[in-house]
Amino acid sequence: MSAAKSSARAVKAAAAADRRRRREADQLLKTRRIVVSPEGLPIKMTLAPNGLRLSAFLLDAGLMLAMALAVVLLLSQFDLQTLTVMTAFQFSMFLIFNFYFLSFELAWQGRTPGKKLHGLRVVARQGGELTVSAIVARNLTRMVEIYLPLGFLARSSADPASANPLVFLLWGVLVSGLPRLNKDRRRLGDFLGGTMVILAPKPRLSDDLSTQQTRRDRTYVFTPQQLAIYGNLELQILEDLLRKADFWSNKRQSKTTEEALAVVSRKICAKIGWTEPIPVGEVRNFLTDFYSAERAVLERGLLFGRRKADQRSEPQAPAAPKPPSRAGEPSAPRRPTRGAPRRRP
Amino acid sequence: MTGRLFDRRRRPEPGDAPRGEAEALTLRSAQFRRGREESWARLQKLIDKLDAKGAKALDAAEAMELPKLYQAAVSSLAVARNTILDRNLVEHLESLCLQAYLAVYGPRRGLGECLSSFLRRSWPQSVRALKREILAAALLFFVAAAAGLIMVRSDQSAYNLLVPPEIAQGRNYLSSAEELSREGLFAPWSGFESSFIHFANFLFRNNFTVCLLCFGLGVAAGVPTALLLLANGLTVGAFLALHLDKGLGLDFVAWLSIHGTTEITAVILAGAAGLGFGAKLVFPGGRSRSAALADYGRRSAGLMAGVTLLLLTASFLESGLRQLAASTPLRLALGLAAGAAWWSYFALTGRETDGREPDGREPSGTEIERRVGR
Repeated sequence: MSAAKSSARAVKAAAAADRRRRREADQLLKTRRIVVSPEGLPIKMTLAPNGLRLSAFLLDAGLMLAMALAVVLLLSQFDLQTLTVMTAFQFSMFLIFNFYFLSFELAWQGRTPGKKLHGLRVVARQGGELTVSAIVARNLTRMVEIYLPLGFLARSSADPASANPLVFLLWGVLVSGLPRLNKDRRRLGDFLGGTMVILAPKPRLSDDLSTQQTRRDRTYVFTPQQLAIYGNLELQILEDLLRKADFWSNKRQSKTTEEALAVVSRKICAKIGWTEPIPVGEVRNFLTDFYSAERAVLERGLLFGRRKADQRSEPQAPAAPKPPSRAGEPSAPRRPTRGAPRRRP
Repeated sequence: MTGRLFDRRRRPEPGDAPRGEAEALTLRSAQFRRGREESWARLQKLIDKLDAKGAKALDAAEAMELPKLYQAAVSSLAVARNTILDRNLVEHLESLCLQAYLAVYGPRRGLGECLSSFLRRSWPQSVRALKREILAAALLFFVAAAAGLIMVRSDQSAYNLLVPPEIAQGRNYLSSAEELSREGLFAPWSGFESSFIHFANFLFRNNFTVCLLCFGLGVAAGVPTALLLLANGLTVGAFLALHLDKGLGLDFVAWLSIHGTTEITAVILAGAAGLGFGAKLVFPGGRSRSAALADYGRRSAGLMAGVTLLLLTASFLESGLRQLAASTPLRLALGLAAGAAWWSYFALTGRETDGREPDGREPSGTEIERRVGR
């Protein structure tokens, strides 16, 4: 009954993979926001993780302190006791701590040095222009969000909240916890500005893996049957693996990468019934060729409207045409209220 | 071409002639990329330039080129999403198009243009939009002032309760009318540096902080804002009571009004913005809370920028001009003129664009509908 057992195991594994994929899709759905550009193309945005935002904020805070220190050093050249120098000091502190975020976000279209370093960016939540008033509005609340909880302003007895440090603590926790409590991860100022912070890293384009095969003599060729087994998911896993191998072989970690590649190539050989042994040095070339051939087949399928999601699924003809929602939109989103997860698994 | 793949059934033998580049498998998607790569790189370069140096960095030809390259990239992305399985390529295009979208449909107005539209339209407009809140804030302030006046006049010991010592600065019921007049109302001008630089600076920073708090604390349903307004009102009332009792009532009113008509206007505007913030938070009306807040925030941004301007003016009036103009009628005249100027400016400027967006555009209802996420 081992056949029944193994098939039961396969079913279980498939269910687990399904769950994992659904979880990932859910995660994407949670952080993916879509703005339809005037050209009708849905532009995908990913919300910035809270950790990155905190780190960016700490960087900015550090920079503010550094600027303050620079002012102090500069002014220490003069006699600090004079009224004018004292005033200059106080006023520069005032400017730095109140207008740092505002002026950087105005000058760099929603980025501060900390945000820029992390590839973060403020955008209008509904897409379109990030207006000056939105930037001003989102920075109006820094006083109650940063300095009030820090107790910087506790000096004023006219300030009713200054009585108890616990109040400040609670206030700080509430304010800094707000991004965790709403789906767009917005802080108080983002609500007023109608903005959100997204990941907008610098685009990077690596080599096309399929073009690497032209640099050598021998090409591995596969039969259509051998290429009909895997789907898009496996192709992309293979792409990730090969790119990682490229990355690590530059870092002189080639041994582990070679091993990983060898394991994968053995698995592929077993699956597609490739009998010819592959010499140790050729594993990389074999996998690259397999990747290119497989991609050629799957992309050809896409052109003809057949999408094979993974090895277990049959090539899917596109669903019956729905009423066209918008030109250029690749697919009707599953939930029209939010961005659909990537069609890729 | 992909078709050729299926013709090569025969596995190459070791003795075969090496395959040349011409024979190698060339993917349609690799060709697609090769043809467009250059324009993507060019687009990236323009975006980088724009990001680094602002809109003026691009010359006319480049400014014409940018949208074209953007549209080409967008159409590449539309094709790539559906037909290309090179994940790195698709992700690169996704992020390139996002950057380009933000650059092309990003800020289109310079700071100077914004400043002029702020002064001509959006500031007075946002003041008019907050009529009810301003009324409420003014009511809170002046009722508190009246209460302070009545309390202190009926019981002098209330004065020390209502006026914090750092504001009183030794001025209390123990000082004589002559002292109050000499050291307070008609104290000699302390010189340019001390008054216009040091004192003005202190006043501005202090008042700016209070006004920002007045606004920001609106988040607690506006209650702390109301308390701040009441506290300030009570203090002013108590001061007035003190000077009335010493027979300096009119002198005090003049002394206060020269900067007060500007400063109290600023406090009331900031308080009104805070109250409105709280009100929008608790009662967002027919819309979603976040849409109501976003709309409100854009308007109050202009208002608070205006408050900053008012405070800047007030700090100069208070620090130097007040003591320079050491005569009651002159002070009164200056104060009333300033107040009248501000409020008529709020009432009359930019009326023709009421009902538009705070930055002068048409209402952005279509933008809201366009967004898939709504």
